[in-house]
Amino acid sequence: MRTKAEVANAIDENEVALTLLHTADWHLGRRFPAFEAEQEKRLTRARLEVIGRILDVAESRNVDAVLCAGDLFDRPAPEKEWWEGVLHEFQRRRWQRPVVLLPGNHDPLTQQSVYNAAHPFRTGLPEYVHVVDEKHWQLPLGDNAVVVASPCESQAGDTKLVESLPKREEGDTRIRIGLVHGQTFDIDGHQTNFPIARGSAAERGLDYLAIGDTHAFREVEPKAHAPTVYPGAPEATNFGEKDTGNVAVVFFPLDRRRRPLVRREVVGAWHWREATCHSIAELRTLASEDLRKTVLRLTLDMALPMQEFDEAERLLAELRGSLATTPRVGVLSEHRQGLRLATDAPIDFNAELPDVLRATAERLQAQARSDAPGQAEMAERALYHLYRLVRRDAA
Amino acid sequence: MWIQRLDVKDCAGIASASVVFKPGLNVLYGPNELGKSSLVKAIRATLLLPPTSSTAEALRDWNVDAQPTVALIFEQEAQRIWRVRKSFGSRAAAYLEFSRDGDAFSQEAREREVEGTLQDILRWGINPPGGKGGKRGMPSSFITTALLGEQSDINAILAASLKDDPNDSGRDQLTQALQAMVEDPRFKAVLAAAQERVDEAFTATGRRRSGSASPWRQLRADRNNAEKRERESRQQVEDSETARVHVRELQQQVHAAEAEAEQAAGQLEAAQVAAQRRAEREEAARALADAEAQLRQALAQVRRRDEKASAVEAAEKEAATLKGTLAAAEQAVADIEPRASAAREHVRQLEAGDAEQGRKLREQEAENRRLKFREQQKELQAKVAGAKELQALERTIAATETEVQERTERLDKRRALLRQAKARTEADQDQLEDLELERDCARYLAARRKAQTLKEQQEAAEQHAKRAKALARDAEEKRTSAQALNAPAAAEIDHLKRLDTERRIAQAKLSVGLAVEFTPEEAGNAEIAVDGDVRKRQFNASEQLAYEAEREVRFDIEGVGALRVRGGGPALREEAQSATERWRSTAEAAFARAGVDTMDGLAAKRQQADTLLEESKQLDFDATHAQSLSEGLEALERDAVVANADAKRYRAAVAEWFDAGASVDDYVESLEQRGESAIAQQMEALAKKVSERDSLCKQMEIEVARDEEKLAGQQDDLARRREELRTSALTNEKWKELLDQADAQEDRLDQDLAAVDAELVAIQAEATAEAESAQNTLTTLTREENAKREERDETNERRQAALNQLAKLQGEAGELENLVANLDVTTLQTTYDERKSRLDELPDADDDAITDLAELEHRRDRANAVANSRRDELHTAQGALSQVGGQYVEEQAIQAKEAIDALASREHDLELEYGAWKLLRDTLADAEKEDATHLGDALVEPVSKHMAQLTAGRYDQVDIGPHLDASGIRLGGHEHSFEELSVGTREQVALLLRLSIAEALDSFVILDDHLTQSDPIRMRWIRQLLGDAAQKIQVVVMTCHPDAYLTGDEHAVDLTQCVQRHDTAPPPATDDNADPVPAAAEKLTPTPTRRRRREPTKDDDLDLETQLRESTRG
Repeated sequence: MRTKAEVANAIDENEVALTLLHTADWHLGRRFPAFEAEQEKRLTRARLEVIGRILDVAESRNVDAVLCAGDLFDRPAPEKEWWEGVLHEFQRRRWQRPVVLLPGNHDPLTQQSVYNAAHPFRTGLPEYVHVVDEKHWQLPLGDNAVVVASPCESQAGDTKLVESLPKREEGDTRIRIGLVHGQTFDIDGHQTNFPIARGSAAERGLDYLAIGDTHAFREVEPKAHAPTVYPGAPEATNFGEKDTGNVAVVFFPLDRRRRPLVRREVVGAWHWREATCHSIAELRTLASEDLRKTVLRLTLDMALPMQEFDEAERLLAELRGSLATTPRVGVLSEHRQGLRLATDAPIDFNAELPDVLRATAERLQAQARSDAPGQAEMAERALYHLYRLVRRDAA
Repeated sequence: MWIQRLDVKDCAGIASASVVFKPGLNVLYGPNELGKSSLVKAIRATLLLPPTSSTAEALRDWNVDAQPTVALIFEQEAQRIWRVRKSFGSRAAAYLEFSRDGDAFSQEAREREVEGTLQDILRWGINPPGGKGGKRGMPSSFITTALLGEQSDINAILAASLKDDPNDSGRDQLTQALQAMVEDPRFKAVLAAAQERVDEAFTATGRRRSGSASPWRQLRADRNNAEKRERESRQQVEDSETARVHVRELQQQVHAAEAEAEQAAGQLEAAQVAAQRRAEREEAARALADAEAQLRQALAQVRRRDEKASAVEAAEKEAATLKGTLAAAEQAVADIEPRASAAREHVRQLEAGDAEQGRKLREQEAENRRLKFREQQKELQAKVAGAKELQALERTIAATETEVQERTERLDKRRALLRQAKARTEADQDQLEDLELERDCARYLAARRKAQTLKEQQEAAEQHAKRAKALARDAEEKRTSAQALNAPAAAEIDHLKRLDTERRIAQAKLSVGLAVEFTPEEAGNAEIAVDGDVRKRQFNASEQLAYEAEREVRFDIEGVGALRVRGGGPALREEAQSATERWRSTAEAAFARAGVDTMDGLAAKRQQADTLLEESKQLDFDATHAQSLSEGLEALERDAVVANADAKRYRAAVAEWFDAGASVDDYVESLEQRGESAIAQQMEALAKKVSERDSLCKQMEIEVARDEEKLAGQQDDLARRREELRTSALTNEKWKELLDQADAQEDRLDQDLAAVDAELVAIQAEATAEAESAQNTLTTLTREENAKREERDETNERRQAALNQLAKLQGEAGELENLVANLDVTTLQTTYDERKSRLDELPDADDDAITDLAELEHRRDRANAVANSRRDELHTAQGALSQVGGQYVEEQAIQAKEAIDALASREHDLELEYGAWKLLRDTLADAEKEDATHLGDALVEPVSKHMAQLTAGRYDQVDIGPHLDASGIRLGGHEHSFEELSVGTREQVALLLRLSIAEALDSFVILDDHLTQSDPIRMRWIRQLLGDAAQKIQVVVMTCHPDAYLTGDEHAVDLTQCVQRHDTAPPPATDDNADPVPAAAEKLTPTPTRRRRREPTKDDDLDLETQLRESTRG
């Protein structure tokens, strides 16, 4: 990570007029109901932990302001623990640099929202934290810069919030930073909320348009003089999301002819990963990795002889963890329908089985070779139970 | 399962028998021919034989004409006690009853149902009657052969097999019982683990568990929550989509409405221009029309003035005509008036004549009479009405008196009934007290019995302890005796035997065969030893003495000398000598110690010592057993103290019921011994009855009070009516007389009235003809006069009207004249012409453009209103969409769907996991079932073990087939059929097998005079074995050798005291067999210190309560 001075050097040694940290889409209070309760807690906690890291980056980069471009909470009125956590992060810092909180479509400015003037979150915020609570909202950053913003006031809508930002007035030479929440794409058949048209930054006379909504880091118009940037979510919210876990640190050169420099800074700790194992060797390799901060969707697609099947179960148990053992994976989502027992392979029970147990094993093996839907799978599992019990007994 | 009691009557030679059994070993003893086997037959028949079966004929005693009757009580398991009662023969009957406490039985089945139900309970492999192809005779199966084996074939079990059972219930029961005995420990562990996991998730019936520990519970709750969230999210998405579509539609509608409004506004503007033009033309046209109208009006005024002048002239002419007509009419009236006045005078004169006056007087007189008769008639009617009222009053009084009488009688009856019911309730209360006493007595008896039992057990334990000491002493004595015999050890004897054998072999080697012939010259005596066999003889001279020996011949001839001939060489002789020496040196010491001089003597001594040691061991064993039986003595003592205290307490409770000095125990002994629960049941029933009766009595008391109230009211009413009758104006006789005469008087008055009416009619008809004629003339003239007057008046009116019209016309004509004088027709004509010119000059309006301005305005306004309305709706919809919709809800819906998918996956995994455990458990069970078809394996071990013990290891294994068919026995590793064994051993094997089966089934077993061929030692061992078995099951031994079984720890029943044969005198009843089960329960026997009273019968209760109910309803 480069320092402010390094960046300044990078932009042809011009002095930096202003540095901003631009973040969005924290989605605090987001639930992950597809996971088991304990795993869900880990993920929801992770969303709060990243806030501290974001603010630490702001401190370490000595930014002039922090802009939070909406969807900081997953819903307008999240549970107390979430907004108290954020409040605690702000309150424990004795900052002067302003932090601007913008209501997004997930946490719009409504009577019930945390941004309402009477809400304890709002009243508890330190002075350096500002909430965009009206259209045409402005915050001067010293004499040379100003933030203009407009909040979402509903969960959905086609209001072009960027158009409510005031245009640059004649003779206004300040750095103008726009801050809105919305979508820059318009796909037919897809709902577009709070659309942001291309070229809006230039049209409104802005030097930088800080936006939020999309979870991936993206510069919308890389060639435009005034960047329009999605910083993305600081922690991913689902599998398949790319370029998450970042914030944007923006350097405004004194030479106004030059384009502001936008750099990603990684703040996310969790990695969402999808993996498929086709053999016990792949599973062994996977299991040997450090997966403590990984949300792993593991698909198993292999037929194994009993001993390897047993090993696979053991490896899965290690990854999964138990009451007695720490899980090897941060959050594990197993898709094990493809994990099958190779029923044609002989089974070594490692014991002189009594006739009745041998007959049981033979019957189950016969059923495991059945074509009846579900029966084979269940018989394989029963066979495995028998194997474990006999082995345990033998041990 | 164990038998509690057997009652037999007129069955297989037994007149009556009652036997009470106990758990454990029951020894039923008695001499031959007493009926022991008959009792077993009776048990078998009770449990197996349908009462209508012809086989039951065998139970019939030909000496008496009575139906065999049996009753058996057996306990299937704790609190499941069954009583079977059967009567065989022509009046066959069967009952199966159930009880939990052994006191109160309820009927479970009867007649034909009994066999089926019984076999369902027993599961012995017997078919219930009714099926085709059943064998005749006593039903039998493998289990019946084992448990109820017949005396005539005690070894039948060795030939029996489950294959021959009529159905599989016996096999199933045995399979179930024996499975537990043969399960491999690893199999058991696996099955238990699988079952444990299955139990986590499923109930015993295979349903998923739903309790707090259920693995499905949280998943199901999560699934429900997720589904709920998903439904809500989906609904939100749908709402959002609907709102979005609605917004788009509204936007389109707003655009359409705005276009419509714009179009309407354009059309309206064009129409308004055209309308303006048309309005101007219309204004000009209207002005022209006004001028034309004014002109026309002026011309019309001129015309009307001329017309009015003509009308005035015509009216003047008509008025003149009418004046003449009026004068003529007045003249006609003046002519007729004098004639009418004259006619009226003539009539007046006729009416004022004398005849008419007389007629009027008579008419008045008749009218007066008529009125008088009417009054009399009314008076009579009033009197009759009064009399009738009195008559009705009298009738009412009579009816009321009857009603009062009836009510009084009913009231008396109800009072009596009520008194009776209360008395009955008092009696029931007394009975309840009696029952309470009886219950206290039952408690006392139970406590006393327990105390007694404990005392007996305590005494028995003390006896066992004493016996244990005595047996230990005896054992010690036996050991001392054995030691005193100084018998060499078996090894020493074996050693001696070996030396003896060596000696014998060494000597045998010297046996080369010798033939010695000797011919003496003189007679003499000789001692000749042939191979050690010494004999003496005399011989004569020249007699040839010839001897053959194996090894040595010795002649010792008196006075001659001795000759010794020996076989073998010197080495062999030395060897024989040496062996003999060894033998002698060893054997002599042993012989000396034992006091014998032969090996046989030594062996006998050894055997004697062994027997003594064996006996001492047996005595030690017996002592240990007796000692174990005496264990728990202290606990028994404590229990006995507690039981005695209980008995004392309950006795004190009973004693409180009696006067001082009364014998509580005598009273208690005199009672029928019923269980406390039965008494409590009776008390409850009685209390319920009393309560019901009390309720009815209260109802009855209310009814009686109501009756009394009504009766009092009726009696007051009666008195009042009687007084009314007494104080009436008419005496009793008068109103009756009046009523009798009323009809005649009425008739008379009617006749008088009719006569007066006829007289009046006649008087009125007396008008004169003259008066009538004058009256007619007057009428005609009066009519004519009136007509003339009317004509005159009408003419006058017409004239007045004509004059008025004339005046009016003259006024109007004047007015018109004045009006016309003021009109300027020329000016009006000029104005008209000018306006017509102006109208012609104005341009025409575009009529096509002018449709309907109002409609256009309306259309424009409506379109604007629609547009506004749609705009409002659009704003609302956009607001709604902003609140409900958008990406947010879509994300929520996706999350919810993912949650459901994840839960479905987890549920699948869980189902798979527990389904697999279930499958494993079921597969294990199936495999086990298949594996367990060799039932014999389970019995081999216990039977063989006992057999080996019994035969001191001689017989090591009994072979038992898969269908429990015993096939033979092993001896020294070789299999032998049972036929090869002695009768006694066969009996013993059969016994062991039967005991093992009974133990497996946890059932009683009946042994009928078995083991007749066993020696005393084995008998002792078997007695011990039976004692051990009796610790687990009930063993019933029927025997005529009680000494072999009676050791003190069994339940001994002397059958001579229980069984009465038809050919013997009745025995005195013992405690154990006092009450035959089928006998009816006796009533409570009160003591002399308590009041006796008649016990109300059930019929009494029924009648009284029915009466109470019916009376209450009445």
